[in-house]
Order: sequence, then structure tokens, then C-alpha cells
Amino acid sequence: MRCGAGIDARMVDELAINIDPIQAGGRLTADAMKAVIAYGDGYSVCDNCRKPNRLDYITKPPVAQFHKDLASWLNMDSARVVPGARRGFQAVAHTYVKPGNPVLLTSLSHYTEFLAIEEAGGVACEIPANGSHIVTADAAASKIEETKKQFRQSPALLFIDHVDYQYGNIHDVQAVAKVAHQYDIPVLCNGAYTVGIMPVDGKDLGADFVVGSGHKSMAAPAPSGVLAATAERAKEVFRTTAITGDVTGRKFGIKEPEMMGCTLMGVTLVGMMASFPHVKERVKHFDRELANTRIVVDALLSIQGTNVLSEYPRKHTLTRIDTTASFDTVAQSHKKRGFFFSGALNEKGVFGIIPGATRVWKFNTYGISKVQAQYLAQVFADIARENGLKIT
Amino acid sequence: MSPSPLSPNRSASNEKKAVTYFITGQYYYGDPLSKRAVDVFFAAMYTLTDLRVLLRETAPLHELDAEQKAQAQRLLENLERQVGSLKQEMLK
Repeated sequence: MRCGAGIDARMVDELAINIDPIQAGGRLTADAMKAVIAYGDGYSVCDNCRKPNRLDYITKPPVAQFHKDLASWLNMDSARVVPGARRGFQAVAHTYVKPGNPVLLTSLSHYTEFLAIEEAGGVACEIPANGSHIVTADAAASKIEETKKQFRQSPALLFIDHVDYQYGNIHDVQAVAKVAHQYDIPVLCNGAYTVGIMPVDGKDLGADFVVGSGHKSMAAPAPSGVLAATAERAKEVFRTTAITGDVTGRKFGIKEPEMMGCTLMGVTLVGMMASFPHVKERVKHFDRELANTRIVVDALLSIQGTNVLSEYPRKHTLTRIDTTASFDTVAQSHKKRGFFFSGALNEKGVFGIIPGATRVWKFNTYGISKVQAQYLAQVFADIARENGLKIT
Repeated sequence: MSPSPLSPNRSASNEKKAVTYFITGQYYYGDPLSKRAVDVFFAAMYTLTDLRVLLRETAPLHELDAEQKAQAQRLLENLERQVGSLKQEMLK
């Protein structure tokens, strides 16, 4: 079935259990799908935009209230919606980083944090994760000292991922932020895998900024996200324009340069807003999600030779797994080589594992039901059994 | 005199041609009688969306339990009613 010339209707989530690590938390709620139907047209949230003509002042639909609710939910003072977490990183880096400034991030940081630093002219300095793939406050303190010696200045900013995209491990943001603040370094907590997935309290974490991803973890269309700040930092990153046209004398009111004026003007924003009540509720039940992850991880670990590379027991639904000594041994002699595994999963109605991957791969069980988790566990065990692997 | 495109509270009954009128604080355009067709259209789309979510929740086997079957039954009956109303409105 086609929904446009050359565009097949996408039916992945209707036909299969989707465990793609980056897609699980962004699946739309029914209300978001309904909002998408009604608000698909370009500037659809702008029907009732009135002076002072800024997105976060629109009251119908209740965009203004949504901004207040977002900030309050994250226990921060101000929030703006942004076109993806990366645009939040960019706004903060552009505000604080000057050319040549060292900026801290971690050996597990997302590439968009590097790009935000690069664009601002900063120098990326990575805090190394330890052998368990966890970023500690001690490592942050050592790196700050090392950076200060090298650059003869304190880092301009510190990025720390609440949960990293590589292992799905939880990092001690609170302790890292405490160390950074001793050096007056503002801290950006990247909550792309936590905001909308599990409870996040920005003030409790000690973050100056909390960034979340709408399409990754808030059941919203892409690109969407949130940048929340403390009152002190909001004045800086959400400063208003001061520019004047030299011929026309035009000024641009209360537009915010780092936001490039208005950000999400249509379907992305209403999708995020429509999902928000459900997202607020679902973070309270993260334990149910972890229980489903456990069902699947236990099944994988029952296949001889399989190891979990993420911290274990799991504290997040995104998991990195090593099947070099199990499924990859099958791939060595299978006529489809590594593609046998993703092929077998697809045939059994499971989607989201990188085709060809049989060594180290990731999956995310967020949002699936217990029945689906049990089915998924059975599928992994069945594929192992059908290919002569031992189940313990 | 032709009506202003944004004139509020215009009585629909005074105008046979398409006008703009004001309902519950929002402007709507066109023949007020077609408002029902538009409402029913969205209601049907939303019912289909609820069915879509049910398909997602039961993927990949789509073996519905008793509660899910009852939900599907209710949604499909609603959909039939909504499509009937749409036919009535649009083909009259």
C-alpha cells in the first residue's frame, strides 16, 4: 500500500514487535496519532497566534500552558520545545562556548554533543567511562583538573548523559554536577533516553539544563524535544533579540535568537502535547518496563555463550548484548551468514535489530506488553534451538 | 454587501451561500450544515486510530483476548455508524 508516489505505508509497528533501540520510546500514543491527523498542515498551531507572536505564548491550542507544565514536570524553571535534543545542545553550546574553550563530555556521549561543541568552536574533552561503562564523579574531577592545566581555563560547559545510548547505563549525574559546580561549570544533562521514560527531576540532579527528545522518548513525531533550564540560566540561553535593521529600523520583539524565533509550529508540537499526559503517567510505571526487559534478557542469557554488556541487573530498557559466542557461531557457517539472525527475527514478527548483526547489538523493550515480552523471549530461544545452540 | 470573511456571530440561517460563523470561540468556514460531516469524518478517523493501536498492542500474532475483542467489536460498530452518517451527510 502506498501513501504517496514511491512511499510505502509504514506498518512496522502494526505487523511486528519493534525493539529498535532508538524507536521504542518515540512510538506515538493514540492521542498523538489523532493530533497528527488534525494538525498535519504546516503552521497548524499558529491559527490563534496573537501578539507578542511567539510560540510559547499561544493559548489555543494550549501551547503556553504546555511549556509551563513541561518545566514544572522536569522540576526546572523554564522550558522551550526544540527540534530534537540536538538543537537543545546547540543552543546551550552556542550560548556558553567561545572558540578555543574546552568543553567536557564523556566517552559515551552522543555525536550531536560533539557537533554542538564543534559548531561553537570549542574543544571536546572526554571524561572516560570506567571498566563497567559508567561515568563517575571522580573521573569528572580528574578530567576537569587535567583540562584546566592544559587549557589554563575551566571548561565552559559539561555535558553528561543521564542514560547513554551505547549501553543504556545510568550515570551519576547528581555527583558529576556537584563536582562541576565546584568549578562553576554549567551542566547540561542529556535526558534523551530518560525524559519521558523514567522520572527526571532536574533540580535534584543538579543540572543547569535538562534536554529531552520528543521523538526518542516522549511519544512524539520527529524532530521534537525539550530544553529546560534553571531561572538563572534561562536568562542567558533564552535571551531575547536585540538586533535592529539598519535601513528599516525593524526590531523583532521577544524572539529568542538561540531558538531562531519559533521552533515547532505544527504536527511535532501537538503530537508532543497530545502524548504528554500519557507520558507523565507512564514514567511512574517504569518498573513494569524493567520487568519486561528482564523477561527478554533472561531468555537471552539462557542461550549459552550470550553476555549482557550493559550494567546488570538492568536499570534501563535499552540493552547492549554480546552474542559473539552464540548467534555469531551460527553465522559463520550459515548460508545467509550474519543475516540469518535478523531474517529469522523478521519471519517471527520481530523488527529492529540491525540486519547482519550477530556479535554486539542493542535492543529496547520499552513500550511492549508483558505478552509481547514473553513472545519475544520465546522467539530468541526458538531461534537458538533451531540453530543448534544450547539453552541452559 | 459581501460578508466580511472574519465577521463573527453571523446567523447561518440568513445566508444560503457559504459564510463564516463563530462557534465556541473559533471561526469555521463554509456551510454550517457540513460541520456534521467534518465532525463525523474526524470521529471515524479517530476510531480507526484506536483500532490501529489495538493492532500494535497485539502484534505480531494479533491474537486478541476477550477484553480486546470486546473493544474491537465496540470500535467497529462505532465506525460503521460513523461511516453511515458520513454517507448520509455527503451524499444527500
